[in-house]
Amino acid sequence: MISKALNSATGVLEELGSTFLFMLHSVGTFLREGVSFRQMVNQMYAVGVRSLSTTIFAGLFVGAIMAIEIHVQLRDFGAEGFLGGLATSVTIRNIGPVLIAFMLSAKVGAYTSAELATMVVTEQIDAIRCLGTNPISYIIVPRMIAVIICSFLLLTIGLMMSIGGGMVISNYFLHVSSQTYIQNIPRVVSWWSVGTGSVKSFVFGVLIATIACYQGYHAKGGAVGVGATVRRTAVQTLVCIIIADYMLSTISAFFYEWFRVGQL
Amino acid sequence: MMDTVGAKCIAVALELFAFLRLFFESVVGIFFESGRPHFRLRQVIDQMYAIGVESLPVIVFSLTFTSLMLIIEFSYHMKLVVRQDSLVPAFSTVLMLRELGPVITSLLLTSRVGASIAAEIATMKVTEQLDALRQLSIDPVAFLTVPRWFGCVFATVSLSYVALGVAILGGSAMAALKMHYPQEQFFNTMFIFTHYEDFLCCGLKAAVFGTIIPLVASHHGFRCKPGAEGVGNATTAAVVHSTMLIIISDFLLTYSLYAV
Amino acid sequence: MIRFDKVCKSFGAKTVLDRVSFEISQGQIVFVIGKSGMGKSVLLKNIVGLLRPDSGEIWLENEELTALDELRYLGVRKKCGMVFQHPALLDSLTIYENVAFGIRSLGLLDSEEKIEKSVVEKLRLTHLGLDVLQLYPQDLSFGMQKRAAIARTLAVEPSYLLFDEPTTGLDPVTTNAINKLIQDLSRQLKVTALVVSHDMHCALTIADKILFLDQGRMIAEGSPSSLMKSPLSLVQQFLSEAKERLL
Repeated sequence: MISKALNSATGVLEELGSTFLFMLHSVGTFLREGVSFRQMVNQMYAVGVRSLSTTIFAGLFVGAIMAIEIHVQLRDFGAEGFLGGLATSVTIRNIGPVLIAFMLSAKVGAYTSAELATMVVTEQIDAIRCLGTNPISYIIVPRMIAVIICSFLLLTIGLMMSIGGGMVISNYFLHVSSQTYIQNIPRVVSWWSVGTGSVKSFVFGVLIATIACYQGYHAKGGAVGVGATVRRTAVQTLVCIIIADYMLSTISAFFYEWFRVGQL
Repeated sequence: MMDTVGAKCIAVALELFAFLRLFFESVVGIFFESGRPHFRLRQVIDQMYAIGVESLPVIVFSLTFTSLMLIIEFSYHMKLVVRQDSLVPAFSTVLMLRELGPVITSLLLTSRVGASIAAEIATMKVTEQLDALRQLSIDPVAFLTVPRWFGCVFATVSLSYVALGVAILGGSAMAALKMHYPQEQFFNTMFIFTHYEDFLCCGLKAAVFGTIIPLVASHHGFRCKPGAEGVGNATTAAVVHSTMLIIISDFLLTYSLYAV
Repeated sequence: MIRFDKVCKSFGAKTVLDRVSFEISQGQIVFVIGKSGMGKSVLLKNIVGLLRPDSGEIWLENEELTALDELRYLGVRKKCGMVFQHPALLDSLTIYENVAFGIRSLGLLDSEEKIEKSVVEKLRLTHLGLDVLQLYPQDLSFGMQKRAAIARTLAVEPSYLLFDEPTTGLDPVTTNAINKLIQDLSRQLKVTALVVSHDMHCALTIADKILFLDQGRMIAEGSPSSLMKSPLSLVQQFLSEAKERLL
């Protein structure tokens, strides 16, 4: 039992380490050889445009869900006036980035890793190497940059949509008018919250890109291998997002206290 | 532009129709197989073990971190709005129970279990194993989908509760350590706001999500196109569509349970 | 000239190549025959540096390959063109761009006209029509994809051609056409061809030399006629299977 747990713990650490090394290797390749702009734009189009409608949908729904949940809690205090601010703040600071990033990890991360894994098992990557091109700089680097940029942009769009979703649901179903909802937002949502949300979005984008590229590039074993790769990518991305979210929340809270005390 | 939107709507409608058909086939498949009454108890128990027990560590781990994150975040918000954070455990626990517990559990199971069900069935389709099953007059829906459905509902419901228990304990420990919040006070405030219905609601949500995951996954597995690319696409589509459906049905459930 | 000297390669506990030694001289067509999953593809991948051997030496002309770094391997890959088991054409590029990929990547030709001329010539060599140029790999049949993959390998004008199971998964008609193609290419372009296959029938028809690989060991080598007299049971099994197909 204990040895089994130890084994899986070392396995996790090994995987983590090699993913990190892979990212460093890609960054190194990027710094040395740059990136083909056309490849990158193609990838951004492929990844971004096909995920846009899903992200907008997810954003609207997540916003609406959070508005209802917060409303239930505020109702007990008769403090519905705070709904706009609190729901928006909770959504863009923590729940929103996490849930929309879950969505993106499937739509963008799993897609990218499936595509790369297919290229690996059908020997396309080997062919590229044999024809004298470095697959890291030709295949991986443009994808990684495209996925990071797209995830960040999509997350931002999704979060903006979530404000809309919350507003609509409270106007029509929770008896809080849109005007009250909007007016209350700046009272609770500070630039600090927006900043935390953006940093989280960026970090989640990096996580999705790195894990998807690493897992896809190291796929093996035919059609079965492609399925297994997609699964591993999805699980690892989700767990990493949750841990990163916790860490970033702690850091954000720490600096918030620090600045506030500093000002006094 | 209108054409593509129209075509997309029709595609979505067809997809939904096919999915509903699979749902009814599975409901029938619980009790009957090829017209004969039949229940595959053995497979059901195997799947409960494979899906439920083996996903336990990762879900407990993730949900605990979520609960810690919520406590930090709510403490920030409470200080901002009411200038004190004494009600943090109440708020964070209620949100965990009603919302994040079942949702995060099922989203993790989507990527862990949904993806592997889709990949497994897609591979069987690609390697003609499904045809071999039909040849032996075994109904693939009753043989593959139904046991996974039971396994998944069992897993989402029980894992949500178990993981929530650990997550709340973890949260209270963290509150005691970092925010100097006594344990008994934590649980007292927690029970003021948490109602019996919230527990039921958590289970109901989990059961609905547990139905979505295996059905969407087998739907995409059965419709897989040949080759490594087909398996990749089926697996990806399964994860994306289940995630989407879980978020939408979560909205509908939340709305009908609380806001009406 | 390609020479293997006591090359060993293993994956974990599984030994795939066990002290393999052989030599191929210029202009020959050499077949490596063996059962599936016995490390035949690994042999080829060791030559072009996709895998590195655990021990032993691989010589290409006057150069020892195992110690080369990735950059110096570019020269080797320019000389040795590999045709993969899957067509391995890049899905995102047209056939034209696929065939031109190696030329651009290795910087062999400077102007677009020269590249186009070369691409067209390679398609002619592999008997593909010019109508496929702007199509994508998934629009082509499997046999045509294979031809396009061969054209892509030829485009860098290698002096060695390495084929990994060129006829697996193809119908008999296409199989014969591909074998004929290998023979023609080796005669017309004076290239050395190393073909990994389990198709003894093809080997008997076009090979100058046949090597038998079994469980990582080189168990027999020689010309088709000399192998007929081999006492080894595996060789005889493959031979009798090929004879049946001839009848």
